[in-house]
Amino acid sequence: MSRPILKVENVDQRFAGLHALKHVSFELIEGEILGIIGPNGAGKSTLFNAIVGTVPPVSGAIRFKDRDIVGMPTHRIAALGIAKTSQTVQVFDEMTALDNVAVAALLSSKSVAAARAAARQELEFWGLEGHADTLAQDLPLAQRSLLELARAMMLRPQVLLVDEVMAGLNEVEVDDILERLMRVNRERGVTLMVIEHNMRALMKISSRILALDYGAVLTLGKPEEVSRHKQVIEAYLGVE
Amino acid sequence: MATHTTSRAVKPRTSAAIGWLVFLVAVFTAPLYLDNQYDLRLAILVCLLGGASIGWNLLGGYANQISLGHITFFGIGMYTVAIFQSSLHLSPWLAIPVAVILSLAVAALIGWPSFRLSGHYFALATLALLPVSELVASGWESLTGGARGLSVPILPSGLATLQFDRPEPFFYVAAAFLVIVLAIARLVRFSTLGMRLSAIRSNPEAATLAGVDQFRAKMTALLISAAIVAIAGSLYGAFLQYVDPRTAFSWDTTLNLVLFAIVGGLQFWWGPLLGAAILVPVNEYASMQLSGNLAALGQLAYGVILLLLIIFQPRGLGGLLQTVFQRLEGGSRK
Repeated sequence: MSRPILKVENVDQRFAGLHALKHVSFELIEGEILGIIGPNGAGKSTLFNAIVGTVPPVSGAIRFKDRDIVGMPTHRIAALGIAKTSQTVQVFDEMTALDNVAVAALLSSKSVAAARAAARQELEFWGLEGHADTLAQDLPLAQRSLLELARAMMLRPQVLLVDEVMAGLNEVEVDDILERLMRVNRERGVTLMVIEHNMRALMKISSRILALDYGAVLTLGKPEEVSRHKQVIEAYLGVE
Repeated sequence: MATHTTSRAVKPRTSAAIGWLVFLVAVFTAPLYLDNQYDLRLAILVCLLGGASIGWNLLGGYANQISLGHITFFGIGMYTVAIFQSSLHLSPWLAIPVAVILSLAVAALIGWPSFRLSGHYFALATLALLPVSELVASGWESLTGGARGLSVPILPSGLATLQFDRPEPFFYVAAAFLVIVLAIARLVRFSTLGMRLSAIRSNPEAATLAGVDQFRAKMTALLISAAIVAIAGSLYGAFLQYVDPRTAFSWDTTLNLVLFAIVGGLQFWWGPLLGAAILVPVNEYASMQLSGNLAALGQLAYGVILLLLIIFQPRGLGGLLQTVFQRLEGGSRK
């Protein structure tokens, strides 16, 4: 089935004279992993922030299952089913790993005990169960990244936006995260949008790839098509 | 300093229960060992100001939403009791719910617009509260007695009038208030609301991404907090039997509420009480013992000690105590 779960329609974003997103339109197909590439400043994170409402777009529509979510507060978009992890890891430093995830479980749990029980299961999926009582600030980067993913998945989202989670990780850690992201997609049926500079990683997991340049869609297609696209090679690899 | 376990996990349930029991006995037998009126008066101040600071901390400490206007709720409590007792000849107990409702209205008025914006708008908005309240209290002479203030007439001694011929009974009232406030603070700390507030304190952006409705969590904390401070102020008004704009809406008391919490430890539900138990007597003795130029010196020393504490023990004395206890427990296990 190729039903769109998220439709981005003519989205524009401007910051003090900078046209950060220009009439961006595309559809996210339910069940796919959509990779997003583009040079620094192409508008990739801006697009994510527009979708989850942390910085809503100035114009355009974003339809999640045919409902326009532009202007909706971020916590409500999260409750509806769109979760996001951030470019620089955002966790609750002074809280334990368990409580970091339990915060997101509060949407569906009535008590702290129930939230913690649910969080413990989620930690297991990410291989963090041994660190449940460790403060987030004492975890190494790779595990902090996993922790943020665990917190995002605790929202039980239908769409998960992952912003450069592999930056700063070694190859073993990257492969571990790739493996888990694919399991999130296949076993848990979550549609993914993944911003990544690591092309090897992105080619491996993406069903399709969206290339952005100067805030506009350059092309959208299968990984092998996009990687042969002349403008992508020029824009992304910096060939003159 | 990083600790690898939550305070909840460190102390088993029984030792916490014993701790509570010892605390309750110590509080309610205080009139036995504080055998002079002066010390008992200090103890009442610790209960009321400590209780108010615990109220402030629900929002200021738990969620790092610093209010610099909480004494407004305190002042509203003082004035309501004074007006009820002097002009309306009504029981102070009736004044308390009225003071709470008035404070909730003011709190909602401040919180509604400023919590919709992120950043420091809330702290700035609360900064305006004190001068405005003082203006209203001085200007509305027919109700508040203006700058002269209001005195409560001497009434028959008893719980109904909250006037007693000895300080002991009032101490028990203040202590009961403190214990209830402590119980509320603990309940909130370990509730789903407490968890949301901790998330907001730790990382507001991440909290929103994790589905936390910040506006709702902060608003709830603010309302509970304002109600507690209003009750503290009502009792204080009944205790002083007098109110004027400067005592009701004093900048000093506002700062003290914040300082008690910082010194005791912002993230501990009992932190502000620890701060009040130390700073209320220190303040009193300093202002009694030091006069003239020495008084200024005392203030200076007070300021320096606070600065040192904030630099070297940012988790407050509560944090220091926690570290010491954890070392002791770790040592005894080995």
